[in-house]
Amino acid sequence: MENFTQWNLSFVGIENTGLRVLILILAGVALYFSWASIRTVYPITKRWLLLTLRLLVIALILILLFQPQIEQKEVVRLKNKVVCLLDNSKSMTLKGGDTGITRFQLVENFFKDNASFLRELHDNFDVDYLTFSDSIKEISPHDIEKGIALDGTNTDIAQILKLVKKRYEGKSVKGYLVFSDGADTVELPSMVNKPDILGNLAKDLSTPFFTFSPAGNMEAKDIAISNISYDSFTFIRSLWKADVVIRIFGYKDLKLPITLKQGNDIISSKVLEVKNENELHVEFSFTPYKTGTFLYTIALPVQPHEAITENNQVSFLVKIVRDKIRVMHVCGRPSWDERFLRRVLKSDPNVDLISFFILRTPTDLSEARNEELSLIPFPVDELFTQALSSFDLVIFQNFDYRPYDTSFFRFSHYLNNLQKFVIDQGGSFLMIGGDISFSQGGYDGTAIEEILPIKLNAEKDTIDTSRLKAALTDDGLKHPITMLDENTDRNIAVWKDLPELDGCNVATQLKATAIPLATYPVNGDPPLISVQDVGLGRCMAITTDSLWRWGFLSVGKGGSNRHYIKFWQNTIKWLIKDPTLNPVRLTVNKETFLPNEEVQIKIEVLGRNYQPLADVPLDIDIANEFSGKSIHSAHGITGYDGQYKFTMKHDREGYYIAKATAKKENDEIGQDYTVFKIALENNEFKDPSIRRDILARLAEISGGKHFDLPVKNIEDAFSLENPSIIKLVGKRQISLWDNWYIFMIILAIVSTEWWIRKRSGLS
Amino acid sequence: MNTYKSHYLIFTAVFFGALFAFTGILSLFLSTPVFAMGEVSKFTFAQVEYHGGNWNPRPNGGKRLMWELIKRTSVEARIETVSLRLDDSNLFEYPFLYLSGDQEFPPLSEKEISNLKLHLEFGGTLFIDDCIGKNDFGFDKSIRREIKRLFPNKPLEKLPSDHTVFKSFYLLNQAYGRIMEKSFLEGITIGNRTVIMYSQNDLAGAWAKDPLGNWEYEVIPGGETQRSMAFRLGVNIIMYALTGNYKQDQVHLPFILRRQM
Repeated sequence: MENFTQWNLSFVGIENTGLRVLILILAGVALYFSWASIRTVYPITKRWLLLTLRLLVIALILILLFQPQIEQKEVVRLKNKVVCLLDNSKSMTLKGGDTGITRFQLVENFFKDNASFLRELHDNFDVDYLTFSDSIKEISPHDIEKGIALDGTNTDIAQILKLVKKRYEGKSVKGYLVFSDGADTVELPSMVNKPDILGNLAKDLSTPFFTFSPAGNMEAKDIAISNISYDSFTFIRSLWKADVVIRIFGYKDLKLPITLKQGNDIISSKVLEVKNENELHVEFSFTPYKTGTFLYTIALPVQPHEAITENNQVSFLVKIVRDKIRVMHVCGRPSWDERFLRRVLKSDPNVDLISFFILRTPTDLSEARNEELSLIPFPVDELFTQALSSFDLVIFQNFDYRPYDTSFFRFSHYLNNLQKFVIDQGGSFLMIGGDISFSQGGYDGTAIEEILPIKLNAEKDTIDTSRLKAALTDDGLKHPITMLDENTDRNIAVWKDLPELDGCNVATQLKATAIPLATYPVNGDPPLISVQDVGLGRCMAITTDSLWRWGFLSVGKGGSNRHYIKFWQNTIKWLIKDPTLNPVRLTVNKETFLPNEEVQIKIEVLGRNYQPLADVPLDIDIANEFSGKSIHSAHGITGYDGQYKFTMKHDREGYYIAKATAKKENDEIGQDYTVFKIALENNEFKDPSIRRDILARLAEISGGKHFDLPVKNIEDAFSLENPSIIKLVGKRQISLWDNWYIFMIILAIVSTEWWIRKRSGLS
Repeated sequence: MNTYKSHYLIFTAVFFGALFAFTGILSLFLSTPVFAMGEVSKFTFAQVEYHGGNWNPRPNGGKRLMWELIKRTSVEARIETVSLRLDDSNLFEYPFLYLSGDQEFPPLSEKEISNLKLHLEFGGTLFIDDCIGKNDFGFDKSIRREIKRLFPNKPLEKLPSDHTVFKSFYLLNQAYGRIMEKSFLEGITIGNRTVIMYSQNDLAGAWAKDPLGNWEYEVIPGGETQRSMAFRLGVNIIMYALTGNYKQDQVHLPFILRRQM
C-alpha cells in the first residue's frame, strides 16, 4: 500500500464552454475599448499604467465569473488479494500409506519449499490465510510455522465457499490457494454430483482456484464403516435391517469378520471376503423382542498398519417400540367366555386380533359337504412356525391340541416353539380354562406346562363346578392386573361385588416362581388367576371359562361391565410388558450430548395405584455402556410430585447407561434405565479418501489449476493477474475567488485608476 | 340251514358284544379322564316367556336344534332348553334368547323392555321366530311394536345375504324355515353386532320332532331339503351369537369367497 497527493485546478462558475468563450471575447473587447480610450494619454508610462490597471480588473472579474478552485486528493495504491485456504479438519492428520507423514505435513512442507515464491507473493499481493473445515478462521502466516490445531470434525466445502464469497464480496481477490484433501463429509443424494455442485459454487466467485492435495501415495491404509443405513426406531418382533457400507483403502485379499452387538452381546456376525474391492455392502438384520432404547454396535477388527481405528466401530441407538398389540386367540370351542373376550379385544383399537376357533372337531357330523361350510383349515404350521414371532400374545382358550397332533403336523413341536416364543423371544402366553384346557387339554408334561405358573397333573387335576366368587390374594391386591380400582379398599369391594364364576380347573400346585392373584375358594384354594415371568416373556393361567360373567352378569345386577373390561386391559398390558405399567420411569432430555454439555435426567416413581409416589429413596448410577465404569453415582428422593430431577456433565465421549432403582422400606418398587451418548460429531474418518476429483473440478471450472503435493518451484507453474488498484482516501477543495481580498484588490485598482485619472484631468 | 343260520347270528352277536364290551372297558382304563366344566358353562337355549298370546308354539324345536348343534359342531350345549321371563333376575345368565309366537300378545312391561334392552346392548342376542309368518298380523304386529319400544330410532332392517349369520358355520344364501314366507332375515344392528334377528319362516317348526322321533310339521314347499337348510340356519344363528363377526375376519375371506363362487 502506497500513499501520495494529487492537485487539480478546476473552474466551477460557468460550466458551459460556449458561454466561457463568449465571456473571454467580451473581456477582450472590453480591453480593446479601454486601450482605445487611453490611447491618447501621455506620458506613455501613465497610459501603460492605466491599461495595466484595466487588465487587472478584467482578469479579476473573469476570476469571479469562472470561480476557480484547487482540489487536493490523498490517494492510496492497493495490492490485489490472494487467499490461502488451509484445511484443518481431522482427516489432515492422517498419515499417507507407507510415507509416514501426515497430509498436513505436506502442506507445511509446501510453505517451506516455496518460501521465495511466497515472499514474492507477499510483495505483490495482500495475502490472507484462513483455516477451514465447516467454518473459516483467519490465521497469520506464522501460525503455520507454529502449528495449526487440526481439529475440524466436519468438512463442508460448499459452506466454506459461501463464507468466502461473503467475506470477500467487493474485494479484488485474484486467486484462492486451497490446501486440502478434499474429503468433504457432507452426504448428498447419490444422484447428485458433488464435484459439479462445488465447482459451480467456486465459479460463482469469479476467481481462479489453485488447489493442492496430497498425491496418490498419500492415501491412508484403512478399513472404515463409512455408512450405516438403518431405522433409528423399529417395532418389536419386526425384522430390523441395517445396510452397512465398508470402504477399504490399501488392503486386499482379506477375510474380514464383522459383528453386530447389542450392548456387549454379539447378536449377529459375518465374514467378508475382501479381494480387490474398494467398497463392500453388508446387510445385518435381527428381530427385537423387547421394547426400549438399545445400543447397537457394528465392529470390524483393526488391521495391521491401519491409519484410523476409530472408524472400525460404529455405535448407534435404536428405539424399539410397539405398534399394535398382535394377539393370536386360539379357542377350542365357541363359548360365552370366548365371545365376550373377543368383544373386548376387538373393541380395543390397539389390538390386532387374529382368531382361530375350532367350530367342528373330527368327531362332529356337520351333514354337509366341505364346500357348503365356511370352515377353514387350522393353519397350525404357519401360525406356530413362521408367524409366531410376529405376535405379542398367544391365548389358548379351552383348547385341546391333541386332535391336531398328527403324524404330519406334530403339535407338540409347536408347543416347543411356543415355549421358545415366551422364554427366548419375550412373547407372552395366556391359557384360559375350560373342560378341554390345562390337564384336561393334555398339557401335562408338555413344553407348555414348563412355562405355565401352575403345575399340571392329569391324574389329580379335576374340575370343580361350584358356583363361587373369586378370592383375591395378598399379591393380587397389589398387582396391576387385579387392580380394578386405584383405591385399595374400593378394589377389594369391587372384587367382592363381582358375580360368581361357574367353576374352575383345579390344579392345586402353584409353581414357586409364580404369583397367585386370585384363588377359587374350594378345597385347597386352587389358583384361579396366576402369573409368572418366564425367561424374557410372561405367562398367565386363568383356570375358568366363566370370566364373562364378570361383565354380563354385572350389568344384569345393575352394575356395569367396566371392571371386566379393565381386568382384560390390565392383563394385556401386563403380559406384553407395557412400559406404562413400570412404576419407575427414567428419562433423559435428549439422546446425544456434546462433551461437558448438561444432561438433564428425570426420574418418576408411581405407586401401586399408579399415582405419583413421594419420598421414595432412589439409587442412581450412570456408567459407561461398554466398560461398565461408573461416572456418576447418587442417591435421591422423590418430591411431592413423585419426581426427582438432576443434571450432570461429563467430558469423555462414549455411550452411557443411566439406571435408577426405587426402594421403599427395603422393598424394590422398580427400576428403569435409558441409554444416552456423549460425542463430538466427527464424520472425518467415515470416508478418509483424498478427493482429488473435487479439488481438480474446483480448479478447472474456476480457471485455476490443480497440483499434487509435494510441489517445488511453484512459481514456474503459477501466475496470477495483478492489475493496479488506486483508491482515493481523502480530498480537499481550496476556492480561489470567494474571498475578501479579491474584492479589495478590484476596489483598490478601480480607486487607483480613478485617482490617476482625476490627477491627470482625464474624464 | 336254519339252525346254522341261528348259530351264526348268535355267534356274531356274542362276538361283537364281547368286542364292544372289551373296547368299552379298555377305553375306560386308557382314555384321559374327561370332565365337563358344568352344565352352566354350556350353551343354553333360553326361551322367553311372556303374558298373553302363545309364547311356546313349538316346544320341541329348541331341544332338537340343540341336539343337532352338539352333533354337528364343537359347541357344548345343553339339550334341555330353559324358559324365563324378561324380568327374571337370571336373564343375564343366558346371553342368547329365543322368542317365538303365533299370536298377538299384549305389550311387555316396562321392566321387561328395559331389561331386554340392557341385555342386548351389553352383549346379548335375541332371535325372534314368527311361527305363523303373516305380515302385520298377530305375532308380527306385536313383535314389531315391541321392537319399536326397544329401539325407537332403529327400525328392523333386512339383513343382507353377505351378513355373517349366513356364513358363521354353513354357507347359506337366504333364510329358511318351515314355510318360506321371506327369503331374508330382518334384524337390528348396534355397532357391528346384530343384536336382534327376526325370522318369519317358522324356523322352530322345521326343527320340531316329537318324542317318538317324527317330524312334527311338514316343511313346505321344499320338503326335507328345506328342513335341512332350516337346521343349518339355526346352527348359524347360534354360531353367530357365540362368535360374532369371526367369519368376517380377513383370514376367512379367501376361503369363503372361493366356495361361494
